[in-house]
This record gives sequence, C-alpha cells and structure tokens, in this order.
Amino acid sequence: MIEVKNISKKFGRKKVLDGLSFQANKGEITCLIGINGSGKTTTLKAIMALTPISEGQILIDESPISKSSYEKVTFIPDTITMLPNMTIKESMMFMRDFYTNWNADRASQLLSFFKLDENTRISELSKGNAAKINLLLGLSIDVDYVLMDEPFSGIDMFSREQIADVFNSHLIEDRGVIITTHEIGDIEHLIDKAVLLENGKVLKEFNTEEIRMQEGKSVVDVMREVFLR
Amino acid sequence: MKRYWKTIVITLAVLLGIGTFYIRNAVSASSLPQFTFVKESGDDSEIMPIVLAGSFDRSGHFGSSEGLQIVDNEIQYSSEQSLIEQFTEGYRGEYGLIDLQEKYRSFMRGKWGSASFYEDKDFLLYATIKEEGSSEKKDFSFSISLLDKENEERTDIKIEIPMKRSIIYMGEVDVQMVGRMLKVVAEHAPYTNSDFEDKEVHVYTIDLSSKKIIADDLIFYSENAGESFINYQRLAQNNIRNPNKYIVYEKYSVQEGTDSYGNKTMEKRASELIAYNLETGKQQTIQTGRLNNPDYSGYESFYNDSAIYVIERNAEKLKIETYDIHRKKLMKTFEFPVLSSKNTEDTKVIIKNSRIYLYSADESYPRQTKQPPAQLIIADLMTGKTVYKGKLVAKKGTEMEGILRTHYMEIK
Amino acid sequence: MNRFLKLVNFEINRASKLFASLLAIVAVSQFAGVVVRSKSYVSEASRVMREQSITQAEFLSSHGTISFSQIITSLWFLGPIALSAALLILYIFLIWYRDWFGKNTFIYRLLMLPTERINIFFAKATAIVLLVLGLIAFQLFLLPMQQTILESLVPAEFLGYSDYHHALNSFWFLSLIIPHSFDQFLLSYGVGIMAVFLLFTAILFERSFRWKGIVIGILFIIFAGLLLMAPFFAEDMLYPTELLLLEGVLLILITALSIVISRFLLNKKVTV
Repeated sequence: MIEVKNISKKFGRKKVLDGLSFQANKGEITCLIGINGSGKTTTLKAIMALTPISEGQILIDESPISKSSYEKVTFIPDTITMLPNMTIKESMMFMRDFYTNWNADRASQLLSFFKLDENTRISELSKGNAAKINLLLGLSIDVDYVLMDEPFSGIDMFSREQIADVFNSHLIEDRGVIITTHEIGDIEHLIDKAVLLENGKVLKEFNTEEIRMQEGKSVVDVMREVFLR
Repeated sequence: MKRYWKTIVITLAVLLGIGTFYIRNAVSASSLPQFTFVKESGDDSEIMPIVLAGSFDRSGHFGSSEGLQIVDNEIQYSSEQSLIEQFTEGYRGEYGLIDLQEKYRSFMRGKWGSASFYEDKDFLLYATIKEEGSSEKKDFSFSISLLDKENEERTDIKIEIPMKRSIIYMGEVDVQMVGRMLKVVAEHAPYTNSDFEDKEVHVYTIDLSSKKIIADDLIFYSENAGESFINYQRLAQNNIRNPNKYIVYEKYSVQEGTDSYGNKTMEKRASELIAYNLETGKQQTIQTGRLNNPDYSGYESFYNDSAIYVIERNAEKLKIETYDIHRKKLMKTFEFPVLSSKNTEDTKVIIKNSRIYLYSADESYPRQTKQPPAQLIIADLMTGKTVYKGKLVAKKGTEMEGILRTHYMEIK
Repeated sequence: MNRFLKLVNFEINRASKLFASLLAIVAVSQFAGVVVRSKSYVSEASRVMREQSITQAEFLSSHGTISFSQIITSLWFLGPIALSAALLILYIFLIWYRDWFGKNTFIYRLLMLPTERINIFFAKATAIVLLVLGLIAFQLFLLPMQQTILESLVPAEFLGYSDYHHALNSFWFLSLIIPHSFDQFLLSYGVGIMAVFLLFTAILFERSFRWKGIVIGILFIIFAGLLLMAPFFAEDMLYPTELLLLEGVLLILITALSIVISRFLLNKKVTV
C-alpha cells in the first residue's frame, strides 16, 4: 500500500500541494484526476522523492522511501528518460545493469508486441513509440507499484490502443498502479479508484465500482458534480 | 566486459603512465649538473657547514632557471625536491635558527630573525619591535620573551615605545644583555620631507625586572649639509645571537656631484669605524686608511667580540685586516686570491667559527656558456693558514652549458 | 560489478567522444609543433649562416641552441592543453546540467536507480578525475616521443637541453599539472578533486534552491577557500611541517563536508 499522508509543498508562495492525502492499494488502479496544475505530477514525483515536500509523510508498504524502494516502485514519466543517442537495446541493457529485478523476457515480449526494432535509437522514435518504450522500461521491472504520468496524452490512436491493451493484460494485474490523467475517457472502465484533485487538495476519493453499484454514477458524473459544483 | 573497455583502458593508462613517470622520477638520476666542491688541498670536513643557495640557467633554455641549494656538499635542485622538502628545508632560509627551533620548539614558535635573539649559557632572549597603526600615525612597542634555560621559565613582556617624532620604520638590528639590562639596538627611519633618507641608531636599555625602558640613547644619526652627507652602516656580526660587548658601525661621508653626462653621482670621501661599548656607552674610533677606498663598502666587514675584520678586495685578491678594539691596533693582515669577475657581488665572504669562508665565482652576464668553476677558500683567522681550497665543479658526465649563480651563502 | 562502477563506466562512455577528440587535438597540434619548430629553427640557422656568412659557433653564440623548453612553451603545445583544461572545467557543470536540461530528462532515471544517490555524485566526480588523469597520462606518453623527434630533426651541435622532465617546469601551468615529485602530484590533484567536489556541491545547491542556491553555493565555496587559507594568516606562528599537516587536514575536512552536504541535498532537497 502506498500511503500519502497530508503532504504539502510550496513553489515560492504558491502552494502546489496542500494537505493532500490518499491511499493506493496493491492490485488496484488508482487514478489521480485533475486539470493541469492541480498537483498530479508533483504528487507522483513526491512519492518517488524527486521533489522535496515541506510537510506530511509518504509510506510505501509502511516504510519511508529509500534506495530499495526503487526496486519496489517504478515511475513512468510522460517523457522518455533515456538518452537520445542510446538504442532501445542499450536502454534495456542499462536497466538490466542496475535493477536486479529486471525481467528480460517480459521486455522482449513487450518489444515484439509493440513491433519495435531494438536497434532503433531513442531519438528516432515517434512520440507514440517513445511512450511505448517508456512503458516497456517501466513495466519490465518486477515491481509492486507502477506510477504513470499521463500515459495517453499526445499519442496517436493506434499507439493508444496498444497501450490500453497492455493495461488490460496480466502485466498490470497484481500490481498497484497510480495513474494521472486530465481526460478520463480512455481509461474510465479500467480504474478501480479515482482521486479528484484541485489546487493541490483532494476534493473527493471514491471507489468507481461502489459508486456505480450504489449510486449508479459514472466517474464522469462524479467529476461533473465535484468540479462544476 | 566488452562494454567496459574504454573505462578499463583509461584507468590502466592512468595507473601505468603516471605510475611509471613518478617511479622513474624517483629512482633515475638527475639530468641537471651535479655541482660539488672538489678539494685541491686541505680538509674535506671544513666545507660541511657551508650552505649555498642559487640557480642554474641552462643555455638555450626558455623559462625559469633551476633553483638549487648546496648543503653538506650535496646539491639539491628545488624542482627535484619533494613538496615536504621544499616546505621544510630552506624555508625562510634561516639555518641559524634551526638548532634553537629543535631545542626550544614551543618558545621559538612564531619567532624569526636571527638579529632579534640573544643567547648565553643561562638565557635565551627574543626582542622585536612591533608596529601598529596606519602609515600616518604609527605606534611601536617591544615584544620581549625571555627563557630561563635552567628552569625553563618563560616571561613575555610588552612595552610601549614613547615616540617623540613621526617614524616611518623602526627595526631591531641586535639584541644584547648587560647584567639584567636588555639592550636593543634599533635603527629608525624618521619621517622627513626631503629625498634624503634619515637614519638614527638608538640603543634602548630595558630593565627586565621593572619592565620599563630606562634609557633611549641616540648613538648615531645621519647628517646632510648641502651636497655632502654623513651616514652610518652597521658591520656584519659573526654570531649575532652570542653575547657581544660592542656594536660596530662604519661612519662614512659622501659627496654628491654631477658626472659629464649630467647624472647625479655619489662619491665616497672618508670613512672610519666606530665601536660602541654597550656596557659603558662609550665610543671608540678606529682609523684605517683602507676604508677611504671608494670601492670599499662596510657591509662586507665583520666584527666579533673585540675584533673587527675589515675586508677589502680588488679584482684578483681579497685582503682581510684584523683590528683589536681594546688595543686599538691592527693585529693581522692576510691576503687570499679570488676569481676575477666584473661583479664584486660574485664573491661572498663570511667570517664565522674563527674561519673565513671565501667563495668567488664569475657569474657575469652576457651568458658565458663556458663558465669557470667557482673557487672556495676556507682559512683560519688566527694563523691565516688555508685549511681548505677547492673548486665547485659538476660531476663527470653531468656537465652542461649554462651559468651557475649563487645569491646566498650561510655558515651553519 | 557494482552499481557505482557501472555508473562510472556509463559517464565515461558518455564523455568518450569529447575525450577522443581532445586526445586527437593534443596529439596533432603538439607533434606538428615539434616538427614545425625544429624545422624552422634548422632552416633559420642555415639561412643566417649562409646569408651573413658566419660560422656555426658564431650563430650559436648569437642565436643560441634550441631546447625542448622552447617547444613546450609554444602555442602549439600549450594551446591544446589550455583547451582541454577549459573544456574539462566546463564539463564539471555540463556533467550535471545536461541530465536536467538535455533532450530527455535523464536525471529521472539516475535519481530512481536502486542505489545510494551519492553514488551518482561520486561516479560523476570519478569520471572527471579519470578524464583529467587520462589526458595527463596521454601527455606523458607523448613527451618522450616528442623529445625523440626533436633530437632526430636537429643536429646535435644545435641542440640544447632536450630532457622533457625538466622542460616541464619552464611553464608554471605545466609544473602544476605534471609536478616533478609524487607528493606534489598528490597535492595538485588533491586540491583539484576538492575543487570538483565543491563545484558539484554548489551545482546541487542551485538544483535544490535555484536562485537562492546559487548564492549559497558561492558562499560555500568562498567559505571553503577562506578556511583553506586561514592557516596562512597565522603562518608566522606555525612551523612549516605543522602548516603542511594542517592544510592536509583542512583539505580532507572540506572535501568530507562537501560530500555530506551533497548527500543531504541529493536525498532530501534536489528537485527534478
């Protein structure tokens, strides 16, 4: 379980995170929903200790983040993070070098699923293909939690379909996933839990299944209620 | 491993390349000339106290010359010394204090300048003049430290020096003890409006028990009347920290003139030696005609206890006359050959340990690539007998064209 | 192989093109310098002797011989060394900033590696030191060859002092980067490594606190500099060996402080 407890952060005078709390469980897909600037990406970075927080606490399976957490949680940012002159193969070798839980079989399965050539340089990849490689590098580590920042934004239709296929596959099944998005459409049917953010605060946190069963509302319905109130 | 070849190659190159370079530097012989004194007559042990510092300028070489030191008749180029050697040896160039520093490490801390020390069998004393304030208004004080050798008791005293007039500079040139009285001989440069540099020599008497200055005697002061000047110059002292009853100055008069090109000239007219007795405060004059020689300059002469050694030289020889202050007469005269050179500074003379050390060389410019070897003579001051005679030559196989210059000689 | 060494190797590979081009520039320029300088001296000698009809001895007494120091102090020789020094100093900054501002933000990758973050710091510093020493080793490898070329191009009568060991101290910068004794080498590079660490710490201050960080970084470097110079203000009170020892201790302390601060910044303050 990833527990985000009452975290706050300032950029200058502006509060980007303001007492934000939520939980993400293993085996569930938690979606952080909000417009740009609501603090989604900052929250993911804070979980990975890529940006300091001024208050609050983040626990991963009950312990604060440390170097070993990086073999437990992986973060897939919205841009690829391998050097432009590296090939896909070199990128995968880099990951294999540093992560003891790198799963080479899964990486090659994904590579053939995406129909990509491992000798292609990162700089030669289209935006869609770069997103796929980004996903490949993140998902081929045997981790318990995956954080994804806007995996669908600015990507062509066919790449989206392929990525969505990955979401439906066993690759995601047992893991805890935190995903951010500002347009829910593509993944509404995938997510288990939604966390609605505005100005660094949680407006509402709910289980999508429960709300559909009990109140007969879709995620978009709830969003409309909360954001356009 | 294939992916690591670049790092491995660079690491190996660094270890091997730099390692070999330094190992070879450490074990291989110097490629610079190895100068040593080679005896022609006398006793080799006589040269051991000599310390020479200088440089060797390779002919055709750009850039700085090689600094060097000869200690215990062994040459050491500073570029070949380790950092620790460079730092500890020849630091401040005062061999005269090394023995004291080893013996009284704590007392000697922060104390420099041979002239500021006095040592007898009971005491080691250090007195220096400290300067405070801006150039306009300066305050001076004595900082005195006394070490009782027997019980290792240490006393530190600070005494303000009352100022009657504005002084630019003030420095001690000798420190002596007469009974329980401390005598500090200090040279002043008072503030003047003229070009003429005034000089005053004061003897301060300080009572160490009451920690007070009890007398300030002005013993010599420079004078200036029109175009003639009278000035004073202290003679070198053999063992400046040893007890000494006298201080000896050369008093000389200079006439300003103009040469045929219209440049100012200074011509030395007359000169005499004055010995000041620190015990009685009385002065004695020693007349010697030699001193009126315009080529003579007082700083080359020495005094010790009650003897004055007047040194006079010309192109081929150096003459030394020994005067006795008590008896007011010339005791002995010796002559030694020197290597002829255009520059008189190329000859270095030191009188110490009842020896005269005479190093003469030709270091004249323009670069003379075949430089004649320097000559060293050590003679007994009592008998005038030469106890060592030799030449400074490069060891066989290390000879090289260039010029050896010495700028400093000291006797340990 | 542990992750630190893998990181070092990764940094070396990233710098390998720059490094290879520096090696090439140094080699080409310096060899050209040796040949051009030697040949022009020899042809000048024969021209002067012919035109003024003077003997070899007369030429030598007026013009002098040629020595290795004349070559080593020429622009052919010092130019590429200065270029290498300048680029490597620039690279101290580049090695960090390109991970933030490069096309793909590689710093994400580095900071999320399952290893102590200070290892990134050490790996980058090690890479810089290896590159610097690699260039020095290359220069030491070239020097004897250059000496041989000089000796073969100039007739012995015209040749002055050609031993490269002592030619190095004819220019202050060369005797600083290739000192004669090993303890001076340790001092030169000890101070050098400390300087790299200090700059790294200053960079991390900037990366953590931006504008305020630049000010803190500069103050930190000034503080370290003053601390290092402090014993020289009390120089009179210290014996030379004590001064040396104290400086050594300060050097280690400042380096350690720099590491401790950097570790804290990397773990707690740095922002992507």
